[in-house]
Amino acid sequence: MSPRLALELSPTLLRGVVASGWRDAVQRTVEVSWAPSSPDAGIAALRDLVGPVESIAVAIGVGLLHVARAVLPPAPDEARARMLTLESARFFATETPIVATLVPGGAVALAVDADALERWCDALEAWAPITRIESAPAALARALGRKGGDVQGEYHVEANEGEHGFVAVRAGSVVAVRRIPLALGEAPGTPPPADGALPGSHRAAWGALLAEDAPDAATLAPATHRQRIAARRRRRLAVAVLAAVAGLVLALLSIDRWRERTVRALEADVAARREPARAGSDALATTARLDAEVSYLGNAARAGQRGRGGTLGALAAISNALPPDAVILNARAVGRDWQVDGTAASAAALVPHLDRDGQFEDVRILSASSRFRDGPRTRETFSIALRVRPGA
Amino acid sequence: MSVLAPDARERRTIALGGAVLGMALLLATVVVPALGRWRDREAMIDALRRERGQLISLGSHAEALQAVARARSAAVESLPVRLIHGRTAALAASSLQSVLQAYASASRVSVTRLDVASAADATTDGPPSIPATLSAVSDVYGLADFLSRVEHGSRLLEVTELSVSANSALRGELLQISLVVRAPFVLTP
Repeated sequence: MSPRLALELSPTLLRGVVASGWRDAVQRTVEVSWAPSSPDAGIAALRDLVGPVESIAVAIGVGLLHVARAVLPPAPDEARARMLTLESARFFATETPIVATLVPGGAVALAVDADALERWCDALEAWAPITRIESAPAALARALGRKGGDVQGEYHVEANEGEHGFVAVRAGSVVAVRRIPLALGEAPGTPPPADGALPGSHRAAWGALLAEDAPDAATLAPATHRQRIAARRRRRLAVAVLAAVAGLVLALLSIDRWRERTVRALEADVAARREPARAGSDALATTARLDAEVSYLGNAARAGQRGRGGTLGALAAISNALPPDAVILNARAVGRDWQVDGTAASAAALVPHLDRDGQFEDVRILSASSRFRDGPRTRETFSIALRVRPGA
Repeated sequence: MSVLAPDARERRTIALGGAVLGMALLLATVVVPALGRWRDREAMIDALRRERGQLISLGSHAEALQAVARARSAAVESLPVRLIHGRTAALAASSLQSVLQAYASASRVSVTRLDVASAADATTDGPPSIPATLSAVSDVYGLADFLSRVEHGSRLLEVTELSVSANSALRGELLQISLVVRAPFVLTP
């Protein structure tokens, strides 16, 4: 990515700071003489010196500004800026069209010749797009206050030939700007301090670059430029958003591929380990099967399925419990429930007889008894239901 | 500007509606399916990792596991009673049929009908079981011996129904027997 350029226009010099395209870091400073009335030559020389740049932020030096003190009704800065624009002729004694602005939070009004500014902008935009145009005092205050703290001071800056430039900053805001004729013999203020590799003379240019993404307040850009700058910002934002979304999508796709590779690697690993583990797996399954069988057999033994309460035991118990004269013709069992049919000398005596036996419960007659003669004996039919007690 | 053209507020509303619609479409067609796919895949990765850990453990402890299985098998072989075994339910049913016929022959019980289901009955707790219905003719001694073998033999069989009736049409003192047994079984590899 090409570097960005911060540029201060003074009556005699173009002071540039070449900054990284990615972050606000100074790469180098340059200085080229120029004539504001014919800007092309100076800007071409600067372009040869610097090479291609991504964008240009412009600070208009004090020597090229009209300065006035604007006492306006108390209102938000935007409203006061609109008042100034509406009645600029009241504050600036010039016949030519101007672009005026109000220093934020103060009463200092600054203006620049609109035609000259248009020429400078055209020449610069033939090189690279302009992202910010503002006054050097406002840019200087921003650069001085970049590292925080309550910035205040009075600074001597370059103005026109035969003048001193003066900028007073208090609490981070410009409170006074003056162009003082040399004839008055005043030389107030000190030069702006250097900031590391950045000389004090270039701090106003640097301040303009720091405001690239700031709101339009205090900008000296003409209306057409403001629209272009706003459109360019929107485009940059859209490109940044698209780039971020694309980056996010690519990152997600990359993570997706990584997890897919993990699945495939695990599947291959598991498939390779199945055969070596088969012997252990079979042994484990065999042990589990045998344990389950032993457990079931133990439960079955405890439940009496193989004890004395089995079907054979129940059949024997019923046979033993009936009197010797009883003959069983039919016996049927479903679980512990039995039905016994047969003949006996006295069917009525059977139920009390069986009920007294502790091995049975719920003994009852199922159907009516019939009496018949069997030779010399009298017999009675019976049909009895009963339940064998558990464990009997 | 035409009076039919939307004003700024209407344009903002339309744009907002379009954005909401686009977001809903994106959620429904991309985000939610992708999240579901992600969840499924993470579950699969977890399962594969667990299986991998188990396989590693099985591979490294194979000899010890085989020794335990051999010892357990020897202990089970010495038990007086075992379950019916078979590689499939049908083979276990065949084994049950052989056991019942052997018991009947040894008890001099004449089997007239033996119906062994080839599908397991899994409605009971514990291992699956195979039901079998047997009809036979025998005297009372044969019946007692047969029941004794069924209930005290080397295979666990549970008599669920029994019907014994004297049949005057049969010569001697023969009994008509009907028996329903349930044989729990284990599948062997």
